[in-house]
Amino acid sequence: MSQLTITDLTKSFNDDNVVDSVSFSVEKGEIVCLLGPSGCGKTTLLRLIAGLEQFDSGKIIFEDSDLSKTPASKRNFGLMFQNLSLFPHMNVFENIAFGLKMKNFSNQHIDTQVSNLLTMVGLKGYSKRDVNELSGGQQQRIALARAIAPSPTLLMLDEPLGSLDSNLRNSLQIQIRDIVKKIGVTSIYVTHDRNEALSIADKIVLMNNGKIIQVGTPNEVFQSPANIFAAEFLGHQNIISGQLKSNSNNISFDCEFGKVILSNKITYDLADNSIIIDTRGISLFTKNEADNIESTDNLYECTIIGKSFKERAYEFKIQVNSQILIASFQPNYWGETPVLDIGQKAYAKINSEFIYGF
Amino acid sequence: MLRISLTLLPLIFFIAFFAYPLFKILIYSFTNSEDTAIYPFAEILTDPYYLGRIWFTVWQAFLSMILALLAGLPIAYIFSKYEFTGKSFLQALTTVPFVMPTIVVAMGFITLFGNDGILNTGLSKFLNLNEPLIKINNSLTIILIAHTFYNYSIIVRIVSSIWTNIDPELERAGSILGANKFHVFTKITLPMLLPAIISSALLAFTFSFSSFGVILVLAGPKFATIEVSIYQLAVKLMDLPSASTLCIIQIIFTYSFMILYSNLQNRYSNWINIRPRKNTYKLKKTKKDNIFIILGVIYILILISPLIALIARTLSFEIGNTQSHVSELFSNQKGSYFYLNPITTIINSFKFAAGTLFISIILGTISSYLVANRTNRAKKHLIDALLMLPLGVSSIALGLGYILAWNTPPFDLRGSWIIIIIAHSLIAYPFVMRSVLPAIQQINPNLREVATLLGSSTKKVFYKIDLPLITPSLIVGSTFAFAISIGEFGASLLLVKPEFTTMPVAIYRFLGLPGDENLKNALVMSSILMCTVIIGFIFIEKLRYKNIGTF
Repeated sequence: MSQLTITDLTKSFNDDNVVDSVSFSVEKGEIVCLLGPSGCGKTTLLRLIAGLEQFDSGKIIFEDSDLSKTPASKRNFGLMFQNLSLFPHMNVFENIAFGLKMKNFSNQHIDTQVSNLLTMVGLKGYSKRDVNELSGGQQQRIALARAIAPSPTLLMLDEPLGSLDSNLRNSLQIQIRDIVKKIGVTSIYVTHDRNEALSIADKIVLMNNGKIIQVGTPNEVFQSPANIFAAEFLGHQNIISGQLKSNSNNISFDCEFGKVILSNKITYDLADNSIIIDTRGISLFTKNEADNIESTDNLYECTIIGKSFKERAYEFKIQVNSQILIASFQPNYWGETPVLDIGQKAYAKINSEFIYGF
Repeated sequence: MLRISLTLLPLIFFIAFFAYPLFKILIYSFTNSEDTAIYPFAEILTDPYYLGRIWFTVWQAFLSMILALLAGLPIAYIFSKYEFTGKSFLQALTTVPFVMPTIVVAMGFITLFGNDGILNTGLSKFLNLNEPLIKINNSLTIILIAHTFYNYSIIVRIVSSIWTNIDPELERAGSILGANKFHVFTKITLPMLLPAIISSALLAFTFSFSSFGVILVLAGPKFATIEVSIYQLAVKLMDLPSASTLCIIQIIFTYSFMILYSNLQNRYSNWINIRPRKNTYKLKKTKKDNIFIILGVIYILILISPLIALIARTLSFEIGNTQSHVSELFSNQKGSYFYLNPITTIINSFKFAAGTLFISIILGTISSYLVANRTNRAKKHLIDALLMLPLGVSSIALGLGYILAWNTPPFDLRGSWIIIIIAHSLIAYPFVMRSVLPAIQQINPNLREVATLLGSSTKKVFYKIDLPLITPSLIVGSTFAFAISIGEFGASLLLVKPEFTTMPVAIYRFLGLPGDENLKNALVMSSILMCTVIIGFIFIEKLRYKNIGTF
């Protein structure tokens, strides 16, 4: 039996189903990410579970009991928001101690608990600080400490790092995951950032328009997206539709720009008749280089129509017949730059082991 | 259950002590009086005397407004553009007239400009004259000066709050694009200031329009405005139907101004690019600027000179006489040959102010939540506007309404102490609301939700989160409420029984009595009243910068 089971949950505002018969379950100790574009209903779903909104129909079962009769203040859930949700009229200590005081713990217990938590989030000695003087990252760590202080049975995080810059976000993601795993609290983490979800979640619940699109581990969701929305939302760029063909020699995929031979190591089940070619799976060659390649399988003549440098790699936009593909080229450490440039003819070779299907 | 009764409380209060009395006034103004055949409404609107009063009210208000603008804008400029030592004290000083009880202002003018006033006695001694040189008592001049004194601070407050925060980058961008100083002002600064100038002018106009105490005390019946005419009709002539008619006319006027005002407020709150103060001050001062600032300081001192005169006169009694007049006022029973016992009067005022404070805090806070909790924008504005209506009604009309509405047992409230507190609270709670509502709306709803999930009940969320966060605004609002109650003149004059006489009413009564002694009594009491209010507002100034809530 899962710790949290949600069945056919529906909530509408002004006849608009913001959460539309959603069902999923969460195991004890698991970190589940609700991932989706803004306005997809993930925050509303979280608020329904928290008890901050009333749902129209469906069921939320937590540890074998129906939550619909339990008010938010009695659920013993923790909640952490995006920004500025520390109580501005209280100092760090008072913020963290708030939930403990509501539960009438002894002052001694509160003191030790708060100082343990401060150590855990790496802010030992900050207890008398004014929360308005803390940096964004420090505020969010205090908010986390406050949320987990009363030992909640479920921790909910609503885009907790949304207001921070990307470097800080990356390091805090790891810290949050470590702390949550250490205390073992079941968590629901809402985000619209696929990288954040992929790196923090045990399980991703991908949502769009109030509905669940896919539930799976980060790897499952990334490698076999349920549909084109999922593929695009997870950042895949070369999404191609076509037909799966097999003959005695190989399995191939017929699409607009030709025939792509697929790897025989992977079994494809193409419910949507689409494949994704990972940008790392396309290598580019000049004519001379291409002449020396033994196999002409998956080798296509193309035109380079765009080139830019993104994150760690060059990104080439190439045109094969009428199909536009993205290929990435990773320079090596001595700074080799690609010889190809915009406007030139080139050859693209697709590595069949970088093809995912859905 | 608690929630519903809390919601109903302000509504019941509003209906019983605002809507119903006004309705009564309306009924009266359309009821035949016994001895005439025509409706009072038609009677008033065809009577050249009253038409003359209405016309006079309009143009004196217009003139007062122009004068207030002329006096206020230069100061607004200095406050917006310069930073100098003693500025915050000076700013506090400028606000003083606005919060002064009308009766105190009137007393200040009598002390300064009156026939036996400081200026005349001084000039007579100096120039060896036998009669006063300045004879502006009971003239239009003194009305206009008094109104200017009253209203320039509104202009300064509202205009400078916008001017200080106009992004100087915009002006700089203008001059980089080739505009000269004149063009920068007329094409960039002025258009941004205009809504603030117009709305503050509108307020000045409205206050001058419904001016009562100043005119009653300084100018006499010859210069009666609508408000003074209502008082004369109701109290002196006992002609309630005619008084009611004038009330209705007055209310129609003031509400038109209020609607205009709030429309303007809504419009300009959206498009001005507000920047933090520290980014907008001019940093360097030239010698010319210093002269400018000094002139400004002198100017402000002249503007508040009536109040200084009042204090000076009171102190001169203390220094010149062997026996302190203040202690005399408190100990000597001579004052009570007439029914006024000064100490009882002061105690009365404080009691009523305490009661008003209590009721208006509760009403103002609940009303603010009533507005803040609406999610529908249209409904929100409607309720907000409705609850602010008492701000526009004249206190004389309110007093008259109570006399008409609550005069039959078991609800004969005329002459009871509770009716005075109710009247004061009705005038005061919109001020609490204007101060508290922005504070409530600034509270991030996430804070309440976090507190709820951490185990707080609705009640605890209010006490632990909302209340501490709105307390500064609540204090600001309640100081206003206190000052309003302490200084309220019109409604009190209509409603108080002799034993409940308040300070402003007592000052007025002292002034109406012959003899030096009574004038001194009036003076001393005015000084006490003034000091009470000033102490209250020194308190506010300290809290003001934490809080953006002004109205």
